[in-house]
Amino acid sequence: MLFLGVQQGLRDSAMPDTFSDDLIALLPNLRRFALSLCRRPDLADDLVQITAERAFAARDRFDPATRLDAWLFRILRNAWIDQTRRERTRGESIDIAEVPEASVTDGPRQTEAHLMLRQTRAAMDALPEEQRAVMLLVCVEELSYREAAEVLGIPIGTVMSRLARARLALAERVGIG
Amino acid sequence: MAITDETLMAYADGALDAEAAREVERAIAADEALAARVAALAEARRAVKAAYATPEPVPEALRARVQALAAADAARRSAAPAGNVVDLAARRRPAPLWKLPLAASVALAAGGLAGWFAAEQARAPFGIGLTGLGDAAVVEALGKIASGERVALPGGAGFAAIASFRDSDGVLCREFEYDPDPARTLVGVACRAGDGWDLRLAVAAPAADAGGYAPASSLDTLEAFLAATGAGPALSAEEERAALEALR
Repeated sequence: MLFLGVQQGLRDSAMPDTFSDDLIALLPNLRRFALSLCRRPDLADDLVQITAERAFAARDRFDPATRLDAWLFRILRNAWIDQTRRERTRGESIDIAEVPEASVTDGPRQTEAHLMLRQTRAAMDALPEEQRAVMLLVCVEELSYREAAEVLGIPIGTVMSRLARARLALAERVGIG
Repeated sequence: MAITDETLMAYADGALDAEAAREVERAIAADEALAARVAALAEARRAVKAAYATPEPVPEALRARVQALAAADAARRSAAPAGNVVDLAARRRPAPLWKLPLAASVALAAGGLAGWFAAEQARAPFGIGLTGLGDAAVVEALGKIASGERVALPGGAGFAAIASFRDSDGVLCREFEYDPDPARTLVGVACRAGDGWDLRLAVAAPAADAGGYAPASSLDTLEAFLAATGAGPALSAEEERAALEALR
């Protein structure tokens, strides 16, 4: 019963709900991952919302001994695959043209660090999607190779080869190789 | 044996066991190109980490939608059978309100309902006024039907009582669903006023069969309503029976 249930939930402070709190605390990370996949803020927000809906519906299947973020990333990744499949079925393609490319010709006042940051982001955007995803999961979210493999549903060897290729390509593009 | 990029990377990430790490160290000590490759792999990780270190702020609308989902989840869970708590879930038929299709239109009874009902009545006689539920069949159902039951009303409409509770003033309120026709559902809360009922909240939606999600707007409205009225917990079946009998 919804009306009263909500009320009861609000009143019931004796039962802390860390799942919800933890999920909400991870929203920035989820959105960052979503953006790395689809590179469009509106789509990313949709993906995060779908992820949250599915996560709440399936929360009893979450093993608290494992990382919640990895579990959520996996849901998000699957939602993205569903989405792209649907887009393809409809004969549409995700338009990434409006994604602003980081410019490498910043004004002279740009600090070197900022320039580096923008170049790195541009280099990330230039990577194939599957490499970008593994980069974000391991290098930014600090998942292990194995955890990343589980999120993406691919063998750990594939994670490692994609990741090594992505890192060498990025290093070369940014000029740190 | 040639050392692969994957092994160099694992070394840079500290993911090799001690023996394998020593082997890589021996190799890079003897080969500058390998050492440079390890450096590039490590630098790339550092650069990416730095470039994405601070996530963009989450848009307020998205955060609000997820918080609404969390509230709905908490509601669902506290509605589960548990000792002294009435099994609220069992009293509500499937298709909870937060799953109403996205097209759901929402109206909050803060005085703005009159126009909505006027429009509704113009389209198809609805039989419910703002100050009292004028349709005799609906009024009778509100005072008689136990929560969890559904009845057919004259003219093809349907009525289902969902639950009863008392507002902060102790006034008896009932949550119900009213289907003026099979294609539309009105979820309402009516509270006792004199010999009739005041409609306090109404959420209108096409019949909830599309399986779509509209957690955000509907639930925000419900939460606002609950916060504003301080609705009490659901009455048990016995309490409800007694409360309804007292109306007669």
